[in-house]
Amino acid sequence: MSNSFESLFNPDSIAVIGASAVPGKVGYRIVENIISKNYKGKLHLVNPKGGMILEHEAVRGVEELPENIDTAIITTPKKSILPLVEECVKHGLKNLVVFTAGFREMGAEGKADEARLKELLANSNTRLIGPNCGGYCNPSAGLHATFEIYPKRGKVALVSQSGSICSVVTSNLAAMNIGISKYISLGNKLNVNEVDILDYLADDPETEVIVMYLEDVDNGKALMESAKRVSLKKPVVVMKTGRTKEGAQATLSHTGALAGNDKVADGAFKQMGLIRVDTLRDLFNVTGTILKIKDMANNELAILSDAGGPGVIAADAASSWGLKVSRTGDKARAELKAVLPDIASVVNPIDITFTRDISLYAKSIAILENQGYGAMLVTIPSHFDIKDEHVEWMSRVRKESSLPLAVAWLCADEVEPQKRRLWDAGVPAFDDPADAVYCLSRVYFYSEWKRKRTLG
Amino acid sequence: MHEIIEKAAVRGYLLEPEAMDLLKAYSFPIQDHHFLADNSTDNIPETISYPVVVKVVSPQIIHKSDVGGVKVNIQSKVELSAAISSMRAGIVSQLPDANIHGWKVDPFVSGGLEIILGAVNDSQFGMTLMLGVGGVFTEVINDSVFRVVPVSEVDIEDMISELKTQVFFEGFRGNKPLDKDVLKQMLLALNNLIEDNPLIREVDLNPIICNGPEIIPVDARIILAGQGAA
Repeated sequence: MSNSFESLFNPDSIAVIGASAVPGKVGYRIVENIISKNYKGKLHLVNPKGGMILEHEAVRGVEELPENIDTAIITTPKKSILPLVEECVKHGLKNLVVFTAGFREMGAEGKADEARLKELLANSNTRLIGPNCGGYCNPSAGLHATFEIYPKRGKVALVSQSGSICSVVTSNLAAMNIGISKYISLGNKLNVNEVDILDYLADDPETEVIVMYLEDVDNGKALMESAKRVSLKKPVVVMKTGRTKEGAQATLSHTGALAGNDKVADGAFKQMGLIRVDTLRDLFNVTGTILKIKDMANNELAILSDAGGPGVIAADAASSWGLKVSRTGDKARAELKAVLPDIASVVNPIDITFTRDISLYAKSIAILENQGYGAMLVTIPSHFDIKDEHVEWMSRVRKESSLPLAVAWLCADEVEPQKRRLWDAGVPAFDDPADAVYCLSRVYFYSEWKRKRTLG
Repeated sequence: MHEIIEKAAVRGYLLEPEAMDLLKAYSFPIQDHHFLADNSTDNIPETISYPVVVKVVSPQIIHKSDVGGVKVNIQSKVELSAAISSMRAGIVSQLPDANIHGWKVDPFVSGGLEIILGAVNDSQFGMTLMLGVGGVFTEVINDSVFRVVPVSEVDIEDMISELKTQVFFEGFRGNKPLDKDVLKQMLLALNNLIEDNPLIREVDLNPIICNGPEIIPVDARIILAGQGAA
């Protein structure tokens, strides 16, 4: 395939077809967004009336554009699309990103139009993203071809069947100070679908974790082939909606798609090593966690707490999610007993009891570090005004130790800035011990999947 | 494609003895059965050991229990003979046009954990394997796992460990712990059966009675493309 997705995500030239000089119009805002983010390539504008738009000269038609434009953003009305696409194909445009709606999602006539679009694209090198798509972005190229929130540059890529989800994921990951490498909203997936983008992202050095938001799976077999290969390289977190009949019905009206048997999809996703989540909150949390904690060597969880309650909550969650909270070994127990207060519990969960003595945490971890646990969860209900000290010792442990570390810091309002710093330091920080355990269990699931399929 | 399937293609599904023969060809642990042609049920062989299960074999009857076509725990030759007579009478009165080929006699296996193995065609992913716990109660117990063909050995290990009712596998009420290696081999065999025979649309091995290393399918339905299935 001579048209690599590089021409889409790192285009040397972009055309906005349907560019408008009228503020508020789709064709104006897209141009404004592209210009404002310092896109370094060549920008061309197409408007049948020509003229100046945001200090750029617009040409009157596709025929006036140079040949082989990398990407065209198309925002013209529905009735213009078929002849326009035909023209673009003739002119050798490589990627068409069609925002225009009114196709498959609108019923029989729209379906027929999509079939005609498919014919126009056949036997050409031109790709079409959409129609009815929300655009895409690539912060590393200063490329903002969408209305959705523009992210700071980072390591998580998003492939979404919904445009607004791009903004949702961007802003919630930003709360953990996590940025986006690329996101794309696929719309009706007439020509380009999630499998195509997955293949590209697998080899994209800017991307460490891939997130997919899907409402349907067009080609399960193609997804299986591709996803198995991708999952071996980097984790993929998937939210696929339409589980229930009601959910599936909503999907039908959103993009005219039909959801299949969800139990089979569940099994298939596990088989592919995809990490499936059911809620947006889990999507953000799991994505953040697996970005910071790439691997868990086993499913043994050490729980370190300064109060009994949260430790037990974490232990309960562990048994729900397939993690073990095994007793500390005899030697470790003796060493812990030697440094901790008499009333401390050292079995696992290790409850060091309420204390302002920060050093007890570090001492406990030093003892637990090499006991064969796959991860450690520290739960802190309060902070006794030593919150910054907590961040310091946790960050240090994360840097110096090979043991993955997560924190459940329960007094939410008091410690938001501290939790953000912990995420930055590579320590996932949660309000709820159960959330922390769930996310760690997903890291374990992925680690095991990969390990079992990568044996030499 | 296996010749058993080729021969049954026109009919669109396999009769139980055919299904069992096909499974046997794929190394499933299938019990030896006796087949009594309908016109020779007066001569029940002495070699049959009891207790047994007797089932009607007829191209017109897929759901045998619905028409009284299955009788279990038959203790003697006399009982077997009487059972066949009364079953025949009942079936003839319900389905006068049914062509009864004969009667399949199997050893009666009971008292083990019941599981179900199957395969079904999914519109998005193609042929899929299913493993479930509960035999005829599988839908109620709702403990089943799916994987898409082709499955690897590692996929099968994942399937088995994903079942929620693991406790059943550890052994209970005098039952030996289920031999997971035997189950694994069976799932691999099912995978191969599906891969080799693209005409197969549905497989239902239910129930499969498990007791330690003995994992025995006591009924089998295999449905081919063109018989109403997707």
